[in-house]
Amino acid sequence: MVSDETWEPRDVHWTDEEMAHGSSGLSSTVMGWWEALRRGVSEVVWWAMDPDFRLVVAQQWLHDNPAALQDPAAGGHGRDELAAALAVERPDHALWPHLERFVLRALREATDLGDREVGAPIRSRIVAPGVEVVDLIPLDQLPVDESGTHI
Amino acid sequence: MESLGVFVRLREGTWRIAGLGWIAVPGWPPRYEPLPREVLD
Repeated sequence: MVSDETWEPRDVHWTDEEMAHGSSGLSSTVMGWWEALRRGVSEVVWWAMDPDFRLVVAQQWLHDNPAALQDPAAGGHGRDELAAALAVERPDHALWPHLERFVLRALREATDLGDREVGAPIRSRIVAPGVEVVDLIPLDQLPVDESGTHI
Repeated sequence: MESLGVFVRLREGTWRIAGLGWIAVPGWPPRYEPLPREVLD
């Protein structure tokens, strides 16, 4: 029994249900996406992103590369049409290979942790209805118990 | 301490990656102050 005065999160003993959630729930989803990004599996990275997130990344690429609109492969489409065509789950647009390189490079740079190992807590945090955040924490920031487990 | 916050959004029954952001976590690990007894009662 832990008293109120000394209680800390690490004193919690997770139930089987909580452990199952941690291994098969949001944390697992996020870690899978993170691994796909590290390994450069762009199809998985792109597909797993929310449609709005894909669209803003496509718009950013077009903003940074306005010449793409003049490319014959753009088919004379306007900025919004082209961004929408590129933002689909599985794009087959002729300009996708260019955006694909940008996606991997931009997301890797934005999330660069070098070779540090990361972990995700069992529980995510609710931000809004239907929106949660999973914290990827560099494990070297966490204390280690006597068994070598990050706590 | 800092963490990489990965925002996820439930979209038609599937959780999708919706955004990224570095989140500073001062005073990690957090210590939760116990609620005053009168609140618990």
